[in-house]
Amino acid sequence: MLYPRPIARLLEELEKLPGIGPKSAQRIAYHILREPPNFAEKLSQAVVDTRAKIRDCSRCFSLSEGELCPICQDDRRDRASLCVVAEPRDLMAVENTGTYRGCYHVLQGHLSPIDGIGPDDLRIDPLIQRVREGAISEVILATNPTVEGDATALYIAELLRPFPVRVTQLAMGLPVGGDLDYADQVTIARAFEGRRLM
Amino acid sequence: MIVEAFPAALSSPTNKGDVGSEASPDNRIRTTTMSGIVLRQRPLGERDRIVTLYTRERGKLAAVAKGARQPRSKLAAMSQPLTHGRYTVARGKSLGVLTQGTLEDPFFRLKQDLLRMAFATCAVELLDKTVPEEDAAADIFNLLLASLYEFQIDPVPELVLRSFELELLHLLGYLPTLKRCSRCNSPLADLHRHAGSYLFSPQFGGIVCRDCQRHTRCSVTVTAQTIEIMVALRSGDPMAVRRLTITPRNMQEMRRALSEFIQYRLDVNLKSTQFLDRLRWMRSHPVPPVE
Repeated sequence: MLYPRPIARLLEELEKLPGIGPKSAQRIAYHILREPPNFAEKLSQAVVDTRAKIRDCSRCFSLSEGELCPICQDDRRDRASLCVVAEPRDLMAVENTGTYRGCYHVLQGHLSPIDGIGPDDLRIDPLIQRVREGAISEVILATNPTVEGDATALYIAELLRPFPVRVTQLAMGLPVGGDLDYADQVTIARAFEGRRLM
Repeated sequence: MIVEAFPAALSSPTNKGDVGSEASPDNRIRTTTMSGIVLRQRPLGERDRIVTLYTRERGKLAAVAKGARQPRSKLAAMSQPLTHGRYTVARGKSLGVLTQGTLEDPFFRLKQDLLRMAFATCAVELLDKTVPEEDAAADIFNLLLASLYEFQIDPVPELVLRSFELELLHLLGYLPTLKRCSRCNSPLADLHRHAGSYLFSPQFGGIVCRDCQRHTRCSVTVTAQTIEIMVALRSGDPMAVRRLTITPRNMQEMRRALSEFIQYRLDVNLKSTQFLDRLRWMRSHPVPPVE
């Protein structure tokens, strides 16, 4: 079907989004056309504002509207504890638990030597600088439980060895609600490593 | 050397079969179960991964592991690089679909040591970049599997990488000439020996004699001892290597000679060696401790 030019252009742009194929793009485009005109205006303004106003927090490299993100500005946060995550969405996942009250550092990726992603491509130097400043007593490595995540954690742990900080890694093991006999041997082995006294 | 060191790993029941098991005789929905090692993975969409496997039965192939990025997925651990398992791949429209897997060895110890993991990653990247898709070679599979076992335990993982490089070059038909002049084929005894060193020419494919040196545009100077180590690595006798004294200079010469050879002959530039170099540099220049 030959679409009018504005719709064709909208479909073309929507299909560039992750996880959006031609059918999904078509559904979104029809939805926009069915909604009142101000819906499209609000949507487009939100997209433009997000792109224009959001930048990296100068301290933790999470997403921020200003120089510092709300977490870095919050004086009630425990500044002695630093949770290192790969992406801002990982920060949100930890934050949504409501159990951690310390600060964060976002690496903006994982090490992946085979893809040419090395330490200089991540925010590792600013992390070392933050630890060097001396106010941090614990660094919690919350990278993904993947080969790349583990490599990143091992690399950072090695860099932090000369510093008087406690370096910990998130426990790995069985997912809550899962059956033990369905877990693979790596997960069970890791769960055994991370077992705790009761 | 590597294969003989771990015969048990290569003769386990899982590795014996040279043919994959066909789950269905119907060609339209055929699934194949193969012994494979994950070379690399990359994310696909929000929940899936594209996994590149090197299998004994079909060589290198890529398959989609659906849902593998979800924590509860059975394929999550199976789709991690440097993992050996039995993989069932269903024929898809373009890529195959990884439907299930049984873990054989996750190389747990390897993944807990950054330096060993970096060496193994270099081997995997070299293999990934030099072997064609779906070209089965059981010898290459055995070499990779045995090397991964070696990377876990060998006191000098760098030697395992050099041995892997030489053996892979041999299997691909690019083994450098180490005992004769690679240009005129004169034997080693007649080679010019200048202060115990030879010229190693990637252009001609190995050592060059005095008469041929002027013809080579690019070459690496290597000591006679370094050549001896490379010959010992190729001999398949672990004791032959252990009997030799290997200096940091020998290591550096082998690294440079083989790296330039691989780059020249196979047109392969490995990204993972940059990280390895960085790691070596980091260990020789530790961050000064804070007061």
